[in-house]
Amino acid sequence: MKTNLPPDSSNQTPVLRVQDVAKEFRVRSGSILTRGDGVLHALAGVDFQVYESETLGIVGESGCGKSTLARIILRLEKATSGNVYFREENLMTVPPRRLLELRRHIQMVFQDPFASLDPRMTIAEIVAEPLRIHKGLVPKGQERERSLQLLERVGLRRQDGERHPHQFSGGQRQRIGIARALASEPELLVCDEPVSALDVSVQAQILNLLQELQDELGVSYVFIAHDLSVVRQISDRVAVMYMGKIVETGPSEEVYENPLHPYTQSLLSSVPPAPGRKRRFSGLNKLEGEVPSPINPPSGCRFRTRCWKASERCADEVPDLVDRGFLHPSACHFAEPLDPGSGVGDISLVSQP
Amino acid sequence: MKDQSASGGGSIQDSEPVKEKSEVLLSVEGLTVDFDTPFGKLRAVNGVDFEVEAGETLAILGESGSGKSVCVQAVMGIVESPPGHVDARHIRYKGSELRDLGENQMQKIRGAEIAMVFQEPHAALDPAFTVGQQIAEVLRVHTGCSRSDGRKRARELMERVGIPSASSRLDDYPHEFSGGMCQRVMIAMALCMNPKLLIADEPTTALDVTVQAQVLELLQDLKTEMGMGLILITHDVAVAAEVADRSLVMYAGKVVESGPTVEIFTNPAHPYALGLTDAIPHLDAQVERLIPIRGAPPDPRKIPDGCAFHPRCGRALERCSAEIPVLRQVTEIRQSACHYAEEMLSEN
Amino acid sequence: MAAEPTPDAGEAAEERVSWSMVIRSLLRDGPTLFSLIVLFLLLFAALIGAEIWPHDAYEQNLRMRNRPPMTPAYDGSGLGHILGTDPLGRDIVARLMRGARVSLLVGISGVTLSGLFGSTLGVLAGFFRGRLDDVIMRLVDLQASFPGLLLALALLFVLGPGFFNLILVLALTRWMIYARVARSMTLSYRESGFIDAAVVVGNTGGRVIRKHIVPNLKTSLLVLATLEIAAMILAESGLSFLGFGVQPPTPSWGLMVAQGRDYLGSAWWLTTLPGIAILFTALSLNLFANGIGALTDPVRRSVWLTRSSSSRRDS
Repeated sequence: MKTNLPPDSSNQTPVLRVQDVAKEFRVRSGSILTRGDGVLHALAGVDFQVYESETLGIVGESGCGKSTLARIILRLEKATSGNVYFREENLMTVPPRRLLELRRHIQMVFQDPFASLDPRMTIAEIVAEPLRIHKGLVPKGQERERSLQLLERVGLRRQDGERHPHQFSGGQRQRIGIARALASEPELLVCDEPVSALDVSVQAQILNLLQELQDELGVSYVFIAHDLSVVRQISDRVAVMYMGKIVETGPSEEVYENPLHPYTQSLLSSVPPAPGRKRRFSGLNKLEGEVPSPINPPSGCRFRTRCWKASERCADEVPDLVDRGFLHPSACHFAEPLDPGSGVGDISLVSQP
Repeated sequence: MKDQSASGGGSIQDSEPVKEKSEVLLSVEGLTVDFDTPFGKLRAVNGVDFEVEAGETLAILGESGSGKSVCVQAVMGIVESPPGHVDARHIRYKGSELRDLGENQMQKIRGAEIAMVFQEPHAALDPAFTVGQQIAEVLRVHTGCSRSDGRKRARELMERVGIPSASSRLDDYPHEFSGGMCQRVMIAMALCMNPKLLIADEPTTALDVTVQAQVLELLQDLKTEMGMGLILITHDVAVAAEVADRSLVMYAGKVVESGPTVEIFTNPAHPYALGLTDAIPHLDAQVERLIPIRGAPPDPRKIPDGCAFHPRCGRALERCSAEIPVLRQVTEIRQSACHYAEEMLSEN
Repeated sequence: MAAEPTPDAGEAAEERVSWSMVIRSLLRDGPTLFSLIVLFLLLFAALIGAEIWPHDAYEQNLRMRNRPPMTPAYDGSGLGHILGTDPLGRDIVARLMRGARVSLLVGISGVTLSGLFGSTLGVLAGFFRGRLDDVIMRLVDLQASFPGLLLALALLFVLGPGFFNLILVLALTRWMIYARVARSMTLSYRESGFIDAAVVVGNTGGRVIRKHIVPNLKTSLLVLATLEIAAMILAESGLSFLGFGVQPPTPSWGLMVAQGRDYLGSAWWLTTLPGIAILFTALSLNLFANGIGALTDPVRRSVWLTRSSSSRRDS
């Protein structure tokens, strides 16, 4: 388990610093008769840091932009604006050569354990590939041996190295993906829904493996998921996303015990409690309505159309993600903690058009 | 073996509320489903019994390869055979044996008496027709009603399931709806003939948690309002605990535990249920390490000897690899298929 | 090691593939076996058949014109004319075998040329997308909208008949199919995630194409190419029939069919036999392509290997 690093610890350079990243996609909207080019605002100014040996969980529902964020951090896409710093270097502006070198340090574990492995390669080859590309990690000729060692480290058998991905189960394939990601000894691992496609009984194995490896190797994780309990288990700090923005962030325990933003509160309240446990924030009514279209997001605070606290100010003024006198930053003009177990008094949920 | 709910009767003191005997809607005994594959015969469901009464919710819980979906597909008669082969001592709906019915008669039952909602809402709807047309189609097929009547009823149903601006959305296509809204459309289609039994196969798995909460609430409201029986298939223990009075836990084609949902997971009588409870992360606490169940659910083509769970079981003894445990009554309301179920219960 | 000792006990298909397994599966697979036999005979005929056959394909003997099959040789020696003779007294078997050589040559070179050209463009279009994709695909559309035969005739008219021109022209009329297939497969690989993984690991674009896309494409393109050989042979037969393809005296099956046209009533074997040769070759190539498809994809391979041997086993 990590020691809880203070989020703005100034005597430490963050491993990753995402600064005001925005991403827009061109989309064709309308029908043949009402042709128009719309802009899909997938990310609208995201800021956060990740420090050494810690796990930042990013949680949010579909359409919040978390997968786009992952792709931008890994430079699979370019941000429309903003910067992504790995240590001191800006991934948005480094020359292509340097980017290839830096890839060694920033790796990814993908959501779909099957699709992310080349079906024609043996798993030993898959894990050895980063070692062949980034020279100097192992003495020449030793790549295969190191690859087999890595496979053993993640719990597979050496002799299975010659097999192909389709011969393994989902959990095993995810282990292969983890072994590949760690082969180049990265400092940062972005995990995009790494356990969502796995059976519950296998999820725990993979989560434990990830935690063990972090303790052993000191690698930082950005752990992206929609399952709130999973994120709670593995993250030191967490960021909650809604419609392309981070609405709340802080140490996991704080955010989960004392959420400040209405969305976080509703989110936690929606999770069905484990048998024998009580629902969190049970007094909150269920969140009504749907996520608005990202092509035409609401003005001001994007959550206001579903928020029971919404007022005029919310439509006019975008709430920034800042400290508001509570334990951690939030992006709501009316942020305040709730009493976790009881009802919430005068609050009634209104769904706004 | 029938699952006995808490028995009613005048002799019991008022410490326990008398349960009304509701009508048994569905009774399944000895259900077995095999599939022919290039690799040999695959047994997906291996001797499953269950009952559902009107007004109650039964959850069938299991992971991949457990056979949970195939069970209800067999009930609905939608297992393709070949390559599938369905066998059972009986599959009775309201007393009549479903397998005796011809395809025509089954079609009258499907959608009208027993309705089904599926996992991927977008995939289950036809992208070429509007939502209104699809709901109305169900009505027309079963009642032969007119176009305008069908449309009117479709709108009413869409309103009932909570789709805003139902009148204008009648003419929208499935791709114009979000996942949660599509699922509501599916529910509307399932309910338009007022079925007695609703089967929901992983209805919220593909949905966000906030949408899931809405859909589950909707299902429960509708169930109560219409007095339906509900079978909910899921892999999510918390969802089952939320919605279902009783649960069946399935593993490798068999029921390994059955009883009141919350009790199964707070006081398990089978190591698999115990394992699931330990392996699931919690919303309100972080533990040092989760306790996983080692290994993985077995390939249906290679089910271990004896108790199918024994290679993964921390408590397995010799008997477990040699002798197949039978699902038996361990308390009045609990059943378990573990040789050492009683020991487990007494430990807690 | 902090990881649990072999937490996942082994995995699904233990693939101990032995030659005997392959042979046995092959023997049970009727269509593929048939096609292999025919193609083997074809190869044999094309490579050395004509050399060892006692009769020569070019030797004319006007006293032996249009003799039916099973006619004894003119000088009474050894092997007669098993399949008869043509209007110039040349042995049909010998001509068929030479024709086989022509067909194979045209088929394989044509396919190699069009395949390499088309696939390369297709992969580039699918991988880099954007402008390049648009340009290449418009080129494909443009060319595909020309009727193939007409285009071939026009080009051959301009370039003049001849072996190499023939191959060039055939390649020009067929490259588009490879481009489309290669592009759509590249696109689907991009979607499926292992391409992203390859990029994240640090491969340059060129390496991703070389090491990840091409090996995965190979199978499908191989299957396509096999089918295309049949198409090439048919196209060449057609062009030679019309007089624009292979020129006499070089025997080509299409040419032989054309020459036999005038004698359909009196010497049916002149047209029928080369026609059968074309049919069997095209059919076998199709069946063979099917077989390759099963054999080279690891997943289908497991099914193919075990299906044959376990159909009698009960679970």
